[in-house]
Amino acid sequence: MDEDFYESTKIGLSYSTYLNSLTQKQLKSFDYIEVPFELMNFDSAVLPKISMKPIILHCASLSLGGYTPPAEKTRERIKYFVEKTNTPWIGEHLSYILAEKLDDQFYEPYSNEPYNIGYTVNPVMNSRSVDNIINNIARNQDYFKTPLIVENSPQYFKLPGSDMSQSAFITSICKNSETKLLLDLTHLYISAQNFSFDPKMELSRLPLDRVVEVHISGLSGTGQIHWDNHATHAPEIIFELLEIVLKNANPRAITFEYNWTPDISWDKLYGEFSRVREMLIRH
Amino acid sequence: MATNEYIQSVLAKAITDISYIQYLEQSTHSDAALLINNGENDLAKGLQPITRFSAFISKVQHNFLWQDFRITFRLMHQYELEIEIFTAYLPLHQQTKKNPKLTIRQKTDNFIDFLKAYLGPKNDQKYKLLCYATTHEDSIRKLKESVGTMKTKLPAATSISSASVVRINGSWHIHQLSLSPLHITELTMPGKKITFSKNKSIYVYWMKARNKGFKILEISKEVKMVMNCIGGSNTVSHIISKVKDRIGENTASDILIFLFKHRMIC
Repeated sequence: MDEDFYESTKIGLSYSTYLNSLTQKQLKSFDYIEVPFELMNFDSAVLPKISMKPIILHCASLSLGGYTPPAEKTRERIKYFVEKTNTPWIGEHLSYILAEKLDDQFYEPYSNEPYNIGYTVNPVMNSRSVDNIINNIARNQDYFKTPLIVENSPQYFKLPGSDMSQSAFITSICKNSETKLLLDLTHLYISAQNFSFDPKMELSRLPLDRVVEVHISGLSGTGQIHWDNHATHAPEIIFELLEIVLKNANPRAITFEYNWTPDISWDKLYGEFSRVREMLIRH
Repeated sequence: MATNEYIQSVLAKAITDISYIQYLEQSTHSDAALLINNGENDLAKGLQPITRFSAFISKVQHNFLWQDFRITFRLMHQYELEIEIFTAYLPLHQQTKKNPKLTIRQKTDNFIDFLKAYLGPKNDQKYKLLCYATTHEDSIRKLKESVGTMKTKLPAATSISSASVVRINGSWHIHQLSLSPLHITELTMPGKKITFSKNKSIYVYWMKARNKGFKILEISKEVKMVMNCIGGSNTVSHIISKVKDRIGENTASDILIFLFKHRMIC
């Protein structure tokens, strides 16, 4: 990767089959493609399809918030794709996906295989968890050499044992390490909706100078709970939050995560790209 | 005081095993109190956020269905039924996940079969519309799958006689619907009032061999009767003999000639 490429903030799109429907001209309207490691690992046809653009590697397998590390084979595969994609950094969730199996004989005989949730889950947020995450980041940072940046997860319920807000939790990780951030504005807004706090205030409490990449996506409101939704466009509030971030930080990349459906309106997406480019010029 | 490791393991177990949540709802197990952190005294209500989160994960793990079921998924989102439906699907989903060899097609069949069974008995308009969209999109998916695997080139017969064996050019599904499939795209338009008619009409979803065209046609009861007899090694005379008592020999013959002329059979 050309070190200078991300010197000015770039705009990217998450990989989905939607990309296959875009014309060359449409492909030129954004700068890079973000792709999950898990997808490339599952489908070898993905990487050749996106090699026309710079790639940022996203990941959900390192379980940085957990106490059970991923299999060594998984880390080897991630490393393989780090080298193949020449990614400037690895964006990983501040969450856990694996947990040690309980020896309680509840339904099935005990096995050493950990629980694999198949989705990233916010960890317990307390000082012990901060230490665990810092250690996990350091261990993986040594292994991959490429910078590892961590993404705030959406909160759908409060985990027992937590005695910190997410902003305090993230701030503590950043204070005690060199950790950089992938700030998902939709996740932040979802947490604010689900726990009735002001997202702008919460944003101001985060160490924005550590933000390297920003994620933008949609959300759904079902009953009292708001959910992450990469199949809908971001609401206005997300762009208001982005405006605040750009006033206070200098992210290298802004990724539109619309990767759950091929059913995306190009006109609307192009309008959002243009809007963000205008914001970048203003700041 | 439970450790972080223990809490995260209990939560992981609850998320991945709905039967564990159901067990906790009925028990005095200390893990229930551990997971409820919202001041709720009712165990079932207190554990509900975790069940909903599991349903949300299940929904995300079915994003591949957007490819063939866009209207269905748009409607589920529009009516805010996603979490309700995937909560109901959780026991089956978590059971089938134990088989890592399941193909995308099998996963699709599992969910769509469940969805039709779940929506079918419900009378509310939104469920009926969703059921209708699911049936429509599932029909197209299945037709694509069946004609996509057809390898043999169909003979281009110039005429048919009573001894001719007639085959479907491609594949078709016949549905009796109280809403025209021609209005399907209107379903997700905001504010659009959709009404089901009292009398059902008959439609054939026809896809030509090797995905060379797709049509939806409204047909009569007589055409449906004839179409249902086409297939296997049935000859023209055999088909006519099967339906002539109900629709008459001439009508049956005319229908077969019509289908032949329009290349629906060959």
